[in-house]
Amino acid sequence: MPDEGAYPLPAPDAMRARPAARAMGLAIGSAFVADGAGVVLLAVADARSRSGASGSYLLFWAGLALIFAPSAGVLLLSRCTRQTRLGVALGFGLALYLAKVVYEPTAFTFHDEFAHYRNAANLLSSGQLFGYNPLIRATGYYPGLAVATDAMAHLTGLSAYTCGLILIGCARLVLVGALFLLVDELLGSSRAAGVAVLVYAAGPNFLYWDAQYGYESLALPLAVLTVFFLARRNGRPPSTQAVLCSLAVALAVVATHHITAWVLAALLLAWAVAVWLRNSRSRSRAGSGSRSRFRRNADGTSAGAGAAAEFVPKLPASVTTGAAVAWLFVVAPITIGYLSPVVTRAAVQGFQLVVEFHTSRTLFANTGQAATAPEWERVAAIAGTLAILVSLPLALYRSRRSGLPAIAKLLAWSSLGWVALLPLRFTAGGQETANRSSEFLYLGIALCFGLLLEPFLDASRWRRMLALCLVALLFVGGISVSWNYAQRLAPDYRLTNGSAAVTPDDQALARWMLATLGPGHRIATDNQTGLALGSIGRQDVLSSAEDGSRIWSIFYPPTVTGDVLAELRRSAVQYVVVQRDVLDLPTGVTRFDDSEPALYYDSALSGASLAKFDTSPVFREIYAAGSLRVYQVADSAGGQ
Amino acid sequence: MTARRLMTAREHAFAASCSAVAIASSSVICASSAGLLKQIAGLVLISAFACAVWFIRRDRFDAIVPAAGLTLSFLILAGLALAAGHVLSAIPVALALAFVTLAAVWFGASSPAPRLAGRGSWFKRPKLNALAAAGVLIFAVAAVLAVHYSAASATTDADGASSIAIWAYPSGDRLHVGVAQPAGHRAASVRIVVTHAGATVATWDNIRLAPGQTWEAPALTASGPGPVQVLALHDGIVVASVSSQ
Repeated sequence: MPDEGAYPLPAPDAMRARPAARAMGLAIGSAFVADGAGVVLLAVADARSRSGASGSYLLFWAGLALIFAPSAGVLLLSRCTRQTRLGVALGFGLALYLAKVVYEPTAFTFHDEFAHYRNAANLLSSGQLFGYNPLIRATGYYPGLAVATDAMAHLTGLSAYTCGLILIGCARLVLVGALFLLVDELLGSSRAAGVAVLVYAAGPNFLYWDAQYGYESLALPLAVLTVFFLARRNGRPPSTQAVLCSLAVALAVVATHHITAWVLAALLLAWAVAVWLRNSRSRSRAGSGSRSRFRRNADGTSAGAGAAAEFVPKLPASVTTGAAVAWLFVVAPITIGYLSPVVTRAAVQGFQLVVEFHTSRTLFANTGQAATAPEWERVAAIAGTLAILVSLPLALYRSRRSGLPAIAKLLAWSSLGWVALLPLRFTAGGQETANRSSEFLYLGIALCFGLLLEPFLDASRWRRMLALCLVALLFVGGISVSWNYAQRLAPDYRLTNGSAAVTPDDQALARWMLATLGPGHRIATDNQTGLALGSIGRQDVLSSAEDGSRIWSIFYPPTVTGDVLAELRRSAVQYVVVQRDVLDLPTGVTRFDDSEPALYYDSALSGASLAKFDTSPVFREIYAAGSLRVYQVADSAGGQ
Repeated sequence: MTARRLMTAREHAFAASCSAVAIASSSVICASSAGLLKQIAGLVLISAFACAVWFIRRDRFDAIVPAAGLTLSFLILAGLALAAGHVLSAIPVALALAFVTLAAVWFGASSPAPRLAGRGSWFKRPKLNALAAAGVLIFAVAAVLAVHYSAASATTDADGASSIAIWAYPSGDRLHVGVAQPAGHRAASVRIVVTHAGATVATWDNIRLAPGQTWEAPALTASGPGPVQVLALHDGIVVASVSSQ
């Protein structure tokens, strides 16, 4: 018997396996090299867009094609191992995350990122949980992201920004990996898992929204991981270790994001109830002597009257639900007031759509604006949507016949929620709800496509190519609706209107205010400047949703009226920051606050409305840079 | 038999290195206040924790995914517990992470890995395919270069789009005046003039502002009625100003 450890002799099988291993190595290596090249192209596209050079749009799509095509080729066309597929899927997910990083690699620039940065900054500076956040107050009561960021920042000495990038990057790897492993476990096919990853990445929120520094970007991967810990093929029970891990991860989800925690709790509860019902029915069938009836499972094992009962996730469901409910009512009751207007608006406009056929939004455009996306992108998005609508019934029919565990069926049927919410995209108020639910519902859609396309991948080359084309269509369609066309590439700040984006001048002012005046001053300003001041500057900017202030009544009057002074007093305003570019905003778009009445934003803003601060003795100009002016409110106005 | 012994030796070596790395990096974090060493030690400690968790299910390569998820969850839950006790700082986090890393290593070493001897064992065959490894390496290098290039380009463009800032804010009866030149602009010489009720109260000539430089005047006494105006002039042209009634 030769000593394996000393001089292992290759067996004939091993010798035959070498070319195959080399081919696999080449496949995975090529996919990673293409991912890298794709990220470089995306970086160049964003850089050219920032400097106003041409060709950025083509480079953007070329970069995405380089990331998608080789990875999809390995995942769908090749006969590689499970580990190879997992590796390629992780590289694919990470490369798409880097697409967001190279968009703006020096600072957080997406709306919600400012709010979450404020939470991390609050905690870093004060050490207190649940600090005041004027940008989105409810986020402060779900501090999972902030504490993880701060723990890492304390541990490494890196900035909150860098720690945030690393955390969300790790979360992206967990999301892709957990989804792959979950589908692989449930469907028993790493090919189906590869399909699921590609289809999930085709979701409209994968490229940018769930790559941003936000609580959902961290919570959603952990929720998928929780389900993976518990889900087993044929419904067999997980180990005690796995259940304990799922509990720990579920608790982390509860402390991180409200909706993800509720969705996870609802899914676990539905799973427990469904399996309990199924097990009860099996027991009653067994009792009535129907032992002769058997069903065939996907892997050939029998299930039915004589089969072992499926695992009921009672403990994870009750702990997650209890923790989510307790957190909501004890720690974060403010969440109800934060989310209810969004849901109510969606429900009302959805009702109007159904009853009166009244649409309030143009597809492929921001509310109140015309569509700007190229024609081919719109066609791809609609074709992708139709492909999903056609495929889902087929996949659900297949899921009914394949003897899947209850959690797989639940996830598959949850995809119908996406179909049900689709009409809301025609409404201004419901668009957000439809769009934001897709990152959850796409889990079901991804599983459905895995289930549907898996047999194709074992068939002839042209059928595999057909599957690849279908997934590519979904991906292109998803990217087309991922982000507003005009904002899909990094902005050129020299051309950007200061009222439409947070500019370098806003950031410089925010840093100056924090260093010179200190944090926590009450400031009236416009939406975008407020984001910089409320996060980087740690100032308490006025917000109607968070503190009931009526900022518009300070800015719109052409002279300093009694109403202006009354609002300054009522909201205890210490500084007014004027962004003169607000004058260039079109009518129909809110200028100073999202709650601004239409009476104001539907009419033009006069230059006198902003110039009044220069001539009134109530205000003292203390800072000027570009189109920004900062005015200190005199004590006599009662603002301080 | 030898293979099994060799495998066990690898496991022991892995567990011992994981523990040593955790202890060493947590010591560095506790001893140093900031800098590159602390950054590396912090990242290494977090990675050691992830490896220790993965070590529990070392029979499966894909256990790296749940290990990463559990590391994120630990950062959230431990961070939450420490923040609730108002002790969220470097030393408690480092000690907690090192302690749990050692516990995970100990637990992993004491629990058998069920499929370790099986064909799918990754721990048994840590040899990577050279082509795949080269691909991963090229991806990593390309990603770093892309992010670095993008950061440099974003910084240059943001600096170029920034404006010169001027301020004059009162603090008690003192007036603080300053000017900041954005990093993307060329060096310039400016003249700062402060007037109070129409009379010039201070002038600074030929102030050289390098790109990204801030200049602040000594605090002025500016009490009494009348408007205050501060002008920054370059070649006789006003480039920035603040004024109050």
